[in-house]
Amino acid sequence: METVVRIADIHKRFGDQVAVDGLSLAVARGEVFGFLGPNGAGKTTSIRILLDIMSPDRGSVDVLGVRSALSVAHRIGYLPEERGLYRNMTAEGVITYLARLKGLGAREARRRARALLERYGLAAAARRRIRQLSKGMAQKVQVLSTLAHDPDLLILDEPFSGLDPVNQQVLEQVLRDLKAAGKTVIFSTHVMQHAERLCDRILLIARGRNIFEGSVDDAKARLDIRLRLRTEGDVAPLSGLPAIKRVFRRSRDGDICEWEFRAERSLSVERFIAACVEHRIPIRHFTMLEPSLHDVFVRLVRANDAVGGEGS
Amino acid sequence: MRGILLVASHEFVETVRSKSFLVSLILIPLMLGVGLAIPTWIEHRTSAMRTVAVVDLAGGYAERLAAAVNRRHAREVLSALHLYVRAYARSDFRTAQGLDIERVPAILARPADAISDAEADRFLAAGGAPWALELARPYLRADAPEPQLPPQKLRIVPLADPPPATVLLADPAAALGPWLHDGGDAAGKTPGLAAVILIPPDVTGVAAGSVAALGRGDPRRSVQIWSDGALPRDMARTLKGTLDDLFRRDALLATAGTRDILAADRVRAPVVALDISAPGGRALTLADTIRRILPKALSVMLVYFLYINMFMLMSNTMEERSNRIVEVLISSITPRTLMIGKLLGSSLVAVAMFGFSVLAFFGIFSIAGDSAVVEFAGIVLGILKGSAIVPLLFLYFVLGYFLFAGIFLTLGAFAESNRDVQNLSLPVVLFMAMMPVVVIAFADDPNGTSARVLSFLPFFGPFMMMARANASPPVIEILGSVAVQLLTILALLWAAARVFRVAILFSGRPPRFRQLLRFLRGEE
Ligand SMILES: Nc1ncnc2c1ncn2[C@@H]1O[C@H](COP(=O)(O)OP(=O)(O)OP(=O)(O)O)[C@@H](O)[C@H]1O
Ligand SMILES: [Mg+2]
Repeated sequence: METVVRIADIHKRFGDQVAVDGLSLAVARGEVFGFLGPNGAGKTTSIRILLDIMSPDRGSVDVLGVRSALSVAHRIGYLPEERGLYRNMTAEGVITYLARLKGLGAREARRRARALLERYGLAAAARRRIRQLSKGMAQKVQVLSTLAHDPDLLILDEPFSGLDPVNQQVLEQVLRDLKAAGKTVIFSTHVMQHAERLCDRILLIARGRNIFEGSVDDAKARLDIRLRLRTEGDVAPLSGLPAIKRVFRRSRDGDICEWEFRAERSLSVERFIAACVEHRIPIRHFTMLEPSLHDVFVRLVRANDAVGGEGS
Repeated sequence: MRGILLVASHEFVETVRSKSFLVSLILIPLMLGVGLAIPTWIEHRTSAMRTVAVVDLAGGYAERLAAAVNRRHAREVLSALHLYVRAYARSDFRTAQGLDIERVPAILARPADAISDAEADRFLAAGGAPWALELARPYLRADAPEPQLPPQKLRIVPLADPPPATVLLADPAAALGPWLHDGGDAAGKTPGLAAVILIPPDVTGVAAGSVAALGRGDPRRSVQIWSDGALPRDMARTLKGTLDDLFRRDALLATAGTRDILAADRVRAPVVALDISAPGGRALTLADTIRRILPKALSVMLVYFLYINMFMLMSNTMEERSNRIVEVLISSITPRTLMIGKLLGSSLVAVAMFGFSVLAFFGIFSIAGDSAVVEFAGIVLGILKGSAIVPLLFLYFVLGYFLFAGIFLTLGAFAESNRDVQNLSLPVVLFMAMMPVVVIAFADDPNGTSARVLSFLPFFGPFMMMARANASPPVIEILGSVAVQLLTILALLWAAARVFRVAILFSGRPPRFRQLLRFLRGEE
């Protein structure tokens, strides 16, 4: 797999505020890469360093085979975290101008701007000034402006914030289309559902440091599986099963109790149910709770905070 | 390079399309118009009477000149009163043709040229305007408003204790100086004289259209009107017209009954206007005055102009920063490219505005249609054409532009709001406001040491050199001054480029000076 972006051990501080503290990552061609972390984790700063908008205090960056993203700017599309466009320009004008800065000819830039606006339902807004558009519409225009020059690598800083659920769906579809077209997408977010649905791999950072890098499934593997069983039987035989780590009662309703089992990912549900049958434990209700990325996120960040809290 | 041009054309197009640019474009001719109208208006409205003293070595002119000037004013008042009575006469003093001139006193029923000397004298002797107004009262409607009658603006008096004739004729400038210079007061001479008219003993009438009649004759054989600086135009015209009249009448009387009377009708007074402060009393023309004031005026205009443009540049940069588009821009092009592009584009805006103002300047003159204004424009154009002022003006404008543009651009890059723009730019704006004051103070001695030193100072140079433009400073000084400014510009732009890069992504309050120094060293 060809690596499109590689960041090695970058550091950045603003005054005595450490923003990035030894971050490393690698993104392969065609991947959708989620860049996750709590507020102030250093996502935006890392992205700016990646784009050579800022220089790191230490560490190295390699983007599309070069050290400065600026020299391959025409192959990169960037949506900054804080949005805004020229308020007095038309939607079409802004997209055209930004595409031209990326190296497109005037006519081609205008043609692509029109095509994009049309394709994403903004044809009517093409000739309207940005200040006359709603915030969400303007944001859509800005997303489109990152695509107009057909970049190979997209870097989107919290692209979903500020969009309504319908437009979030639209944007998810855009990202899937990009992936289908073989583009590489890096986006930051703290809404885990998007990352869960879209990302091939994620990087979780906190306090400027990697705390997890890998696939969404790998991330989930960091947490226990939770099984919930409602029964009037005695569950003691079940707690002896391999992979079960902990059992506790969640609630009681007459004879019937709800039990929760925490188990490692290696647990086989079939074996668990077979054991119930074997020990004549009646099953009134059974659910298995997959850990969400959200849970992973909260867990890992909390754990890191505890460690960091000691350190500082 | 492509990036620079793209940014520049974007900056240019967007600025030119913006409201503030359009407003400035409308304001420029408006202000030029008002600027021209105000002096004319003040001149018209001002009731301050000017006193002109006469030394009559020829004899017989002084009293007649004073009387003629008074009559002239009497005619103006009577003529205005005539129009007033016509407008507000009671209905029983009107006929189908208008005012019933048979029943109204004759003196009230005449236009200016129909009023005889006798009538004018009678009016003056009886008490002037108040008397005439009483006379008119019975014929006026009860609701007639107070009339606006022209005030007397000119009074002719004999010069008290004049120097002896020989002294006067030998060197009139020196002899009359004490009465006309600002020090006249201190010297105990009649204060507030607008001019002194010296009538040499052997002055005679000259033919209309001759050199002498047009004000270019030999001063020793002409009526000399001495003043400190330019005579107000209407006063000069009044004096010349009145003197023409006197000389023509004398000629007519002398030739009565002969064929020469035909030529006598065309006799005029030889009058020259002279500047007391010019060496040798060179004839003073409007062109001289304009020539003296123009470079200073242009120097002030330069500062004013720069300010408008700087403000636009700074606001644009502030907008790009506060709406964060700048982050997209510098992910596509380097901050340096962005900065150079913006400087280039905005300097083109400035040049466009500059060109427009020059056009507006002449456009207004030609539309104004008033002969005095057109004459003024003609003179200005003549001066501009005949000298290097326009190219110099352009050179200094461009230098001034780049001297300040880097600073304002960087300040704009720190600003989040219009309030920041104002706060951040205040010191520089105050400095700019102070500059013309200093420059003009030193411009009176354009090749003096102070003016020359100032020409070599960064920032002051272009404006000082502009104010000196007509004193033809040595070419070496022009080049030297330009070199100093170019070096300053290079240093400023170098620093601006370093700070700009940090500034546009800087979050929080605008930095302190010490932080700026850190940015200059390349830290963030
Ligand atoms: N230009 C700057 N000047 C000073 N401090 C900065 C600057 N940019 C970021 N920081 C600081 O660096 C740290 C990391 O900020 P960053 O914006 O990278 O976080 P983030 O992960 O993007 O957070 P969020 O999710 O809130 O966007 C923060 O503590 C922030 O205050
Ligand atoms: Mg961020």
